[in-house]
Amino acid sequence: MSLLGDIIDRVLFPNREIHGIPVLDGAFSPNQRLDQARRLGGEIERPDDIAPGPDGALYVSTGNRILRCTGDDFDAREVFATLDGPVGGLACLPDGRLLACVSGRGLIALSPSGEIVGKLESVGGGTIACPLSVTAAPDGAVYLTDGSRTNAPELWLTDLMQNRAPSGRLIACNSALGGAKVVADRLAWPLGVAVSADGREIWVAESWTHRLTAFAPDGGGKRIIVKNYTGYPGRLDRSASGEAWMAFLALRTQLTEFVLRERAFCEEMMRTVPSELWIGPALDGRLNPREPTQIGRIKKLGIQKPWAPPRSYGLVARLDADGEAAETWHSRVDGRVHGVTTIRRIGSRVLAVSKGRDCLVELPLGRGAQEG
Amino acid sequence: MKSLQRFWHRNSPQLFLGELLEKRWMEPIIPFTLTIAVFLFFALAIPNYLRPSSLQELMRNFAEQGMVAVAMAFSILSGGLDLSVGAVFAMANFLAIYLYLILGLPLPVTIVLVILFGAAMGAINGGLIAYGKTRPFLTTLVVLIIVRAAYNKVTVAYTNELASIDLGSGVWDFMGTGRILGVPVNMAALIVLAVSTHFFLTRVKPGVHIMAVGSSRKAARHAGVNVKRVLFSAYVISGSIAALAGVFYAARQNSSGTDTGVGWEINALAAVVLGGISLAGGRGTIARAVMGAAIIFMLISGMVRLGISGNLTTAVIGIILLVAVGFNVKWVKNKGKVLQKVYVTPSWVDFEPPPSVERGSGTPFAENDRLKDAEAIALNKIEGPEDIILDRKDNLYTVNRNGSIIRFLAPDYEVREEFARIGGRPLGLAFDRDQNLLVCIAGMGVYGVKPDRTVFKVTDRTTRTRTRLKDDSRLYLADDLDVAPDGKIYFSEASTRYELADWALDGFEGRGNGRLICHDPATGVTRTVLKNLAFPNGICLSHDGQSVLWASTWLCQINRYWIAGPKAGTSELLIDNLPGYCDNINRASDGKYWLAFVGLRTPVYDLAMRNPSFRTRMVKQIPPDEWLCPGINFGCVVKFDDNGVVTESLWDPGGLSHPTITSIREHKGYLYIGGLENNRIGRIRLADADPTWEAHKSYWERA
Repeated sequence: MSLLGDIIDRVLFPNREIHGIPVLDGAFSPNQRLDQARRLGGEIERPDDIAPGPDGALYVSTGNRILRCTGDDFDAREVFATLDGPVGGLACLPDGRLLACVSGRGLIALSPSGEIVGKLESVGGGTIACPLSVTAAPDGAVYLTDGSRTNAPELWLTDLMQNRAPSGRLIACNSALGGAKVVADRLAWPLGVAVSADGREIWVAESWTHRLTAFAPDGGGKRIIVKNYTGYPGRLDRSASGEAWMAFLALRTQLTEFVLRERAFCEEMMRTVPSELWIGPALDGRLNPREPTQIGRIKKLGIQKPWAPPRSYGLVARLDADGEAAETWHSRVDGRVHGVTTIRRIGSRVLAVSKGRDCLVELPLGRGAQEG
Repeated sequence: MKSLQRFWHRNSPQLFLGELLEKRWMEPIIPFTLTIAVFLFFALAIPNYLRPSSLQELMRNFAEQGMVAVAMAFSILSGGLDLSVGAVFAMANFLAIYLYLILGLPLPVTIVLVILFGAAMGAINGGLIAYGKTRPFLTTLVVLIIVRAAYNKVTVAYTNELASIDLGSGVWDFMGTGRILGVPVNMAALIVLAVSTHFFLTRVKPGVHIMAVGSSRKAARHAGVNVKRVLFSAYVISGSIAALAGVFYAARQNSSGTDTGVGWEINALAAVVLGGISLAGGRGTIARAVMGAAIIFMLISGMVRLGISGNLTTAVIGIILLVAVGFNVKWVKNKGKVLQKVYVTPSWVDFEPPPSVERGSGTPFAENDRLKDAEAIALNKIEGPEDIILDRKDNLYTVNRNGSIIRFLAPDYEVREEFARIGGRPLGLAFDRDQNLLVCIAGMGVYGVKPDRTVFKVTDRTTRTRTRLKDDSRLYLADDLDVAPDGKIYFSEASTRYELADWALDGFEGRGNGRLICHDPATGVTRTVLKNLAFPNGICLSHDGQSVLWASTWLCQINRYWIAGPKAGTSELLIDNLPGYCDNINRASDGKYWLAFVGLRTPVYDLAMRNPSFRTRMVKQIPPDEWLCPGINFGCVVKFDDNGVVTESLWDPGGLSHPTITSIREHKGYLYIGGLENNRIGRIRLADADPTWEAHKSYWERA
């Protein structure tokens, strides 16, 4: 019956786009370069985002706290602020204030000494309960993304598996966190946001629709840059030279996409099974004996195959000025830097956090490391 | 409602359909159905079609066409084509009349000479094609034109003689108009011919060689077949059969007209294609050619009798042929795919939440570190030790995935030697009273290795289930075995529907596809003891020798089958709802039993087991590497007693060195661990075990 439906569909809508999972190919060809990344300092418990301060320090969000890290390898760490909700996206303003996305609260501005100096809790009468990422434009405007109207940032997997109509927003405000307005609505978990170097476009990466879109600051001029990624795109970072960096939460798998289509099964799974045991992407690659297994992941002669269907994966990409991936770093199924939520260029270095494996890493750059 | 659904999924008609499609004889289903349909159509459309005289007339007119189609089939099955059959048929018809009726040669001599003529024409075709490497199409076309031209010449030259021929003898007339048991003689000859050529092509070496050459000339040559001679013989046979048809035609018609045999090669070709014989060669049967010929013959003669004009008849036949051939081509090509789509038929399995395996949960299954420091034996010297066993001299025997039995010599197990090479995929091991090593081999059956290393077959077949379409008499997937005190060998066949490589599909079905089988070496009889078991595994004789313990891997149960005592012949559930998938069971020194969990149950897989249609769609929609499967990357070892109480478990957290534990064997105070997909055998010292205990004593030296 489904075959008949497919045939009719192909006849009636010959040009309908099939949103299949692209093969990891071209710039996305698998390598092991992310596994060669150097760990900086000790473990950080589930770090989510990093932001370089104007004073050379690095701010890291972890749980309800923000750490301030200093030193060459950012290994001198102290608690900068403790907030009343899990902290997600961070951004530093040129005047030294730090913006932080706090789950259930909205956007909060902190002074260099760690005191709350400003808040943005609602826009157009509605609260911002799911702030994901924040970035500052050169002209002083602040762009914030709100992931969903129904779920908090910690429930990202629930939001994916619920498969509701997209309800995320791109919100703009001024540097004093006033004058907030919705630039774009109905976005599917817009985890990545970056402003182009000339300030004329805002790039938004939507995790659940696997695409990268550009918006004009007034919300018009929507332009899809990449319409289908193999993974779930995460945070974006834009450096002055025009290139951009993108982190991927995990890779899509045929099984996950299948379960997303199987609504009855998916709903029952969400109702009866703890979320860490669901079929779906995960950030950490640490095996839980009771998590679902796929045939390709069965160890053969004691070896976990790197090409097995990935439950968790490590992937970051350098994008050129047009948004096309130019270079990628992978940590494959048997690797150890999985679940990267953020990547940022800081001076000549590129740092990333692996939320899945609790660490801050520095990417190996240059051609020499490519043959890994 | 739920029970109805469950019943539906357990006995789905899809099962029947899947096994039906698997049958070889389902391939010509389309020509067969069409033959019946055409026959029924004319039986309804034409009055008196079914009267015996009418049927006899039909058969009489059909027989020669059927023979020519068989002749054509020979050439096509050999990978070529013989267009000259129609002309050879016509010439043979003339020759038979000329030699017998005009020259007055004896009938047997005539028949032999005519067939020799056919063979000679075939030899010209075959000689040119096989030895001269000419194209079959052009070669036989040329022979067709030459023979046809010669035929036209001679019929014109002998017009007067042909017009005034005497009637032949009684035998000649009998060949033309006689009947055997009501069947016209020529039809009887066609039946004999079809049966014997079918037998020839499928059972006799030169015939099988024709099929082999047709399938793949290169492969046949590599297999040592003389390709040229085989091709040559195929055309000789084709020409001879065409000539034989001419003899019968001559006896029936006693005349040789200018249109005799015109276009018969086209009809024969159409018949063969309609019957579904591949033009590429090697695929098809004689029966299909005859069916195809019957369809075409019935269509032509039936439409003539219905009074339809000749042009329309041709057009209708053309259209029917086109549709039928189109269907048939698609069917032959996609039958495998259809089978793939319908074969997997998941059933409904309800699971209760299992006991917790969480560390510190207090259950006997709670995770611990007891296998973490297992010593690795034979690391990277073994591939997939599904089962392990030790002999009385402490040597360690195990199975390798390449089909051999490997022995590691005591005491340090550093020396590796191939004890025996059998083939297949050896799985479960057991020693009998005489120290013969018995082994279950997936894909082969049960074999044994004597201490002097000679390999012998124990059994490879059992009683067939009469109510089942699929022939389950051959052993598909013998899995584990044990020997009873009276010497009977009890073994499990995990599945009769899937091979070992497809174990996951059997798991998706979760249906009782397996069985428990008993072989008695004293009588040599093998019989099925229990049927419809879901992946039976872990066969182990209880300590008292009165019952066989067997595990159902997919249902996570341990069962007891009584072989002696008051309950002999009955089976009972011993432990239900275990948190892992059970594999081998073996005796422990303290009167209990060791059980290997090949994997742990996962809540999502349990949920999927309650959703048969979800699993069906998953198998259809996503590639095999992505299928959800039981969590066999994590196993553990548990111990249970005769009352079905689990007392302890041994874990390798994270499955670092022992994922997929399939077997355990206790021997002299040590526990040995094997795994289906592992690269090592593990060993740990058991602190509280009897250091002198060995299985052989436990089995054979009891008071």
